[in-house]
Amino acid sequence: MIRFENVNIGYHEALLKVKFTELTRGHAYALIGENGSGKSTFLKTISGQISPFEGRLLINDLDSNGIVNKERSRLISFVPTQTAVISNISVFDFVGLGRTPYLNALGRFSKKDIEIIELAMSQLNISHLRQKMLNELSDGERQLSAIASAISQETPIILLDEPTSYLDYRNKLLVLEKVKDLAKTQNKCILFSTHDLDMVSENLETVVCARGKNKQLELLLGKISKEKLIEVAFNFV
Amino acid sequence: MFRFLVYFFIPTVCGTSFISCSNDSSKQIPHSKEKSVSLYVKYAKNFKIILEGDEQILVLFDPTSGKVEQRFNQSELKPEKIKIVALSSTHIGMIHVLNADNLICGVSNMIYVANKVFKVNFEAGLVKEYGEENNIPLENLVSSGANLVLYSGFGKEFPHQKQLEKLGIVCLANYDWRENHPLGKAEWIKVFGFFLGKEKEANDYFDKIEKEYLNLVEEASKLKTSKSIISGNVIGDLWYAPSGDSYNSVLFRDANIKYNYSETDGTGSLAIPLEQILKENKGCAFWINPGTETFQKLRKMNSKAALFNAFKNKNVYCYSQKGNYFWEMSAVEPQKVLSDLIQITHPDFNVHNKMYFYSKLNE
Amino acid sequence: MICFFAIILFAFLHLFSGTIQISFSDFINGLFKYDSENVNQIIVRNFRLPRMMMAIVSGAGLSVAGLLMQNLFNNPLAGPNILGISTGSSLFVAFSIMSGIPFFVSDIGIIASALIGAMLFGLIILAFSLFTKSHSSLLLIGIMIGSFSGALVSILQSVSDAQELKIFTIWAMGSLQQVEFGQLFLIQTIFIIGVGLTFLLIRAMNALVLGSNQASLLGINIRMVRILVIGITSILTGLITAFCGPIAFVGLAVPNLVKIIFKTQNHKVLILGSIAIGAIFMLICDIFVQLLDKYIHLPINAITSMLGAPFIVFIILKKLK
Repeated sequence: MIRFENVNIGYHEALLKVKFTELTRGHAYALIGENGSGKSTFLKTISGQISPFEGRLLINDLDSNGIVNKERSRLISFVPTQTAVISNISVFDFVGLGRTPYLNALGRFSKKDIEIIELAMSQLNISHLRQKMLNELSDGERQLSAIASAISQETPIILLDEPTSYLDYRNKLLVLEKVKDLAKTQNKCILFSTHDLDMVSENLETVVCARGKNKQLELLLGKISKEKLIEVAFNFV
Repeated sequence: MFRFLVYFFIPTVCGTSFISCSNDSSKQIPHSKEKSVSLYVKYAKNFKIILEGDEQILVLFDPTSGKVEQRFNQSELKPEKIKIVALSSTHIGMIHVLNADNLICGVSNMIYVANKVFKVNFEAGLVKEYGEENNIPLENLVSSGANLVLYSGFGKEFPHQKQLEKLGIVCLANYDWRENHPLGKAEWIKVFGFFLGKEKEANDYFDKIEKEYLNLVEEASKLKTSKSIISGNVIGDLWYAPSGDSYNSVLFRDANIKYNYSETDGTGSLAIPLEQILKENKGCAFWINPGTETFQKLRKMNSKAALFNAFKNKNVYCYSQKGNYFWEMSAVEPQKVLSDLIQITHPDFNVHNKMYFYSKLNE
Repeated sequence: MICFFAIILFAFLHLFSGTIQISFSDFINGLFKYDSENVNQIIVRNFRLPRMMMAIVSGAGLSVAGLLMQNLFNNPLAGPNILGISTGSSLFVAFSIMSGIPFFVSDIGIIASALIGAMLFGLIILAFSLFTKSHSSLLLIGIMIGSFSGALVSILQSVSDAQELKIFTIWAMGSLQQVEFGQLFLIQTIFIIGVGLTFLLIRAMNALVLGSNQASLLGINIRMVRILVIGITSILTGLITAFCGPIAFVGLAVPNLVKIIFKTQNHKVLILGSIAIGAIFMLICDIFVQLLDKYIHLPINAITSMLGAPFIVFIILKKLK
């Protein structure tokens, strides 16, 4: 789904190099690495906010540079680290913003749109919050709403920038489970960055590590021990 | 360099001043305890000429407070040396009537001057422009050689007045424009007579026009009162029309014209909401003094003008065809203004057909 | 919705309040069976009706423009004036009054200048917007342009003579009474076009609540949206400034009020709400002006701020409880 061919990622110089790597549907990938290793930059390159300045990045077999905004919004959704506290908006409406790529200019929700929004909320167990105002929620609830919004965007690729940072243990687990589940049952390609190595090593079998040796991105498959993760991510070799 | 020259010549200036240097501005003249007799000023309210002992003294009053603003002793004047900067149109008119045009060395702005002698003198470099009276640089006035500056006075001193007076230049606030009676306004010719040493000419002139004016008033009173008129125009959201005791309203009354606001108080203007002015004056037969020269311009200035019958019937009159001439001469020839007004509004007025100032608007 | 009945109610009230007493039948006749000799009917058609329509158009138009600006720049303090568009109008009007050329000093000339000024400055801002991606930069540039043209206006004022100064100052006080009956059709058409275009931006405006980065990721063409927003704002602000002079406060305060009252970020509701509340607000303000006209004439700008500001504070405090 997402294929890198000799790509250099960064703003002015290569922060991260990706030789030949492919991230496929049906998998949830955790993106780990020390601070400054280029995790956010990596995500932003895939989402199109930054261009890779060497090599080819192919999304769904299309050159990333050539994808127009509208198409891209139906391929990739992005959940930023923090959602701004917006006043006067209900949770339902906020989650509903994920439907934007599919609405007409007047912004009307069809029946199908409403169903999708409700489904997204129920998948994260926040349906009971639907009429509450976004700024009345806790940080964690707000984060879950943002993720629900990305789900309702119905994209094959979902990118999340440190989605579990503000969540309590139970919700961290919930999100992780959901993400794995979504990837498998809905054949999505999900990539999320995180610092939670414990959780990753116990639960995931697909890990992408930024800045392994030589500033290179490494893809680790299979059950990986935490020690190994640390070693690769933090270069303690 | 310039300033040096100016200050070097102070003694010379004093020497040629038409008021002796020992008493500047006459404010130091003690009020005489002798009985003062008021002389021959009938209508004007803002000045008086009094006799204190043997002295004729001109007293000028601040129109707002009524207090004495300036006093001038006749004996200290040297009219043969006078050189005048006249900053308002009415000054020009009065000076012209007394044949003193050549004594002017400065005006405010030549585009507002109609007087032909001035224009000739300006071309010859004998008359200079000095700009708005609030904005004249001190050096310009001092170097002009003038020793009398006439200004309109808005309750304040002339800028740099004290310095000018130290240099022997008298600054005179001419409040003719604050007089609300046409004859009172014209009577300021006597102030000019006083300064120019031409009291007899001024008095004779005034007596003559006063007689003509009063004759016209009497003739008009014998005619049938005219149809009603509307006066003034819109500025912004309000219509400004002359108040009942204003200069224009007095003229209307003297001309036996029916004017809807002649019973109101005040000597300035009334500000009337647009709906009201239309309701009360739509049917007026004449519109006088809209402040513009053509019907087209009037329409552009006032989008609701065409709703008035006077406009529809093209009975709109103004003096602006002869704008500068009007502003110069109307103050000192009120009888001509009165004649025009009577003629416009009374078809039964039997006199020669000449209109001195007013005309119907052009297309 | 209730609001629209409220508009009609206030519109009626507005029509009836004025310095002259006018009967109901005169009203109907004035509007439909016009008798050009009946003074009351003349007043209805030439004074009351244009004034009422202008109140609705200016109130609604400025509120919508304000809503657009606040949304684009994600800033509740943005108003239609923030990009210097109405200052640009003022500058052109000042120029034309000063020029002394009769056409330009006339009513029509002033209207044309105001429109041209607004459009021109709108274009300038648009040009800048193509060069900067950052919204805060654009905002700052707009404010700077506004200050600059404001300074030019001051200079023009200081070199103009008393008569010109008076004309300009009175224009700057704002007035709903300068509109003629014959101009209403044009005004309404432009107004409807401007507001109609705004409805096409609902989806984009909803997404922009998340910020322009996120909105872009949701498929919104930010560049196109900017162009449209600036364009519509120029048109609406230009139109209203042209016929009424600069009107303060409404574009800034009403959108905020609407968000508080309707408690939503759905711009379909917000646009309709802005139209309604904006129109009602202006109608109320002008009713005040009309009621007081017998005693003192207050410029509309004074009333909008004087009535508006305390009212808004009251609403905010009430909602905070």
